[in-house]
Amino acid sequence: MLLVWTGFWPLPVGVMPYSTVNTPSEVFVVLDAPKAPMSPAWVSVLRLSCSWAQQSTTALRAAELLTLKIWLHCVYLQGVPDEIAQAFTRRHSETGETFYLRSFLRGTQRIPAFHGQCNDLADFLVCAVTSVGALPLRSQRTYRLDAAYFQNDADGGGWQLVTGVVDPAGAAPQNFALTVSYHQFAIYQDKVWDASYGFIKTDGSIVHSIGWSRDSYYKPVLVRRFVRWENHAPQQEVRPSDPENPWNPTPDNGFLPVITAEDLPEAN
Amino acid sequence: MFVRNLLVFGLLVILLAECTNAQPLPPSDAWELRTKQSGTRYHEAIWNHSHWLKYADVPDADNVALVGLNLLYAEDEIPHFSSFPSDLNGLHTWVSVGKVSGFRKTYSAAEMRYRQVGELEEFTPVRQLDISVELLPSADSARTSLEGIYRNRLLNYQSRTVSPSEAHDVPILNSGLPSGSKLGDAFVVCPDYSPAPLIAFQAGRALVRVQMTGDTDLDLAEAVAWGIFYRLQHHRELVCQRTPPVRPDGTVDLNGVKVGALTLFREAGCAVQEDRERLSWSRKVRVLLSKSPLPVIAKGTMCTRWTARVTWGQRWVELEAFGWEMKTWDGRTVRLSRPAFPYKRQLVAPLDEVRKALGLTVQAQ
Repeated sequence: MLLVWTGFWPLPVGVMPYSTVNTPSEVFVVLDAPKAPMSPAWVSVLRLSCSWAQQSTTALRAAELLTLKIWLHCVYLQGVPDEIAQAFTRRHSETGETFYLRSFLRGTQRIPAFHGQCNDLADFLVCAVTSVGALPLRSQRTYRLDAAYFQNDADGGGWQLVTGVVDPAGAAPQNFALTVSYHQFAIYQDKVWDASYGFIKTDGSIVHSIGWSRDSYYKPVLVRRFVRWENHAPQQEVRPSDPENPWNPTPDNGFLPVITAEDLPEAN
Repeated sequence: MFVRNLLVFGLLVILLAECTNAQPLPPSDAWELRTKQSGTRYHEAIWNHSHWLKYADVPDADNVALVGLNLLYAEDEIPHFSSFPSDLNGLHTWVSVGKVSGFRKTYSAAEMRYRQVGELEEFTPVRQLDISVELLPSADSARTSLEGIYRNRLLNYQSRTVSPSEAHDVPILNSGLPSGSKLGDAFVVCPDYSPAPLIAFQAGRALVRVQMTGDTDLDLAEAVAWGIFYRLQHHRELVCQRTPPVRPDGTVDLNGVKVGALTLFREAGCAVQEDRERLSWSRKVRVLLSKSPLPVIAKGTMCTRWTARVTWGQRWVELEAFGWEMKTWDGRTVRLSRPAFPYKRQLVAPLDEVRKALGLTVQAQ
């Protein structure tokens, strides 16, 4: 159980944070102490995560429910690197990125709340799962950023991946394959939780990566093929099973996004 | 006596609460001063299911906010939709007043879709409209932003592996509206693909986006866009016109088609009857970023039917809000070049087309 002070701050010395009319506080029932990057956990995240994962009694079950709820309620923005398509993450490096969580929860004048790319949905899943003290998830990418091909790259080279048939998070049911520069998901040990995509099976049903083995099971479902680019032109297609494929989950142990309540840098 | 005073006091409190809800601008105690990493200071408020940002460098910010909000539809103007606060964060409106000002409102359909994922069961609105108006410093910057939307969507389209049936969904600049018309100074139509179809247009220094998630209805999205364009015409400084686009009688040329309130036909001896059905709703929602842990009861109204009938002698035509057709007394259905849409509680429509359908031989104004 987590008792969170949501009254006036700073807490008056000698005043115990219990709930009365004038000193409101909220009680969240969680599995364990919240973990980084949600330590201390944000009340706004707990309000959602505790509701979405209610009645979970195990960390795995909580992670599963939170993955499905994010896929249902958040909206995946397919995009290229421009102001909107970057959505709510900035300062991307090989070892991490900054996630503008408060802006993600609130929206901006251009991007509605809870909309984002794979970075945002993976980082939000990390926040949601760690806030309820479930698994210590971390974010991870399919390969290094400097191995990825972006359409505005100066060198014009690198890898993209073509997904299997997916139903992206949010909106009406859809199914198509996407070409993306890389993909980001949440991991714990060698297991993957992916809130960005539902994967369409040949019978039309949808399955979700909720604790799938990353290299043996998740990779061939996520990736139909890799495409290598040079001078902004596709050069080679590689199957996930081919030895020269670029799959190299990065960083090795994933990363904890830097969570900020700062406003997203944009107009004004 | 005490009980009577108590009742009067209670009624006053309720009245005050209702007045507070109706107030469009956040009260002074709702604002918080915040500072960006860059050092920019601004005020933020979460008020009445709306999120507000106000930058210190904008004179007359309250007036800009009111102008911007009035460019958007009221919650009960789009039939079968209302501004239900989001189940996720309790908000439906976003206002930002600065060098670039933005106004965005989400309208959700009352009709819900049932989805089952594993053992999870969810109800989500079958359709949502997200309408945003951005006011940029100049028409050039608005055009640049519109072209940016087009380029971005085109790249998104190219990065999808599409089936042949989706090949027509390519984003198009200045073409592709269901009506076949031109809209504003320039426009982009991005048809049915992830995350949602979009119609964006530029008129002067205003950039408007109408985005629809869930079940697609591009006709409705276009009709909604025309209504916003009409509202923009009432602000000469926004559409960068030297002369007011709106004539004294309220008629406006929308890309070459004159539209005006149907009530103008009264001057030509017609009877005009508007039929508008509304219902009230209330929902318990939690405002995610609120300091208060308690849910609030959000209340609102929704229009379920909005039609207008113009009668001249034995002849009549009937139009409905955001409809592209009018029914006539002799059983015909006539397609309109511009939709009927609401403005200030009246339906606006292409006047000459209505006049012609009625066989009126005199001008409506």
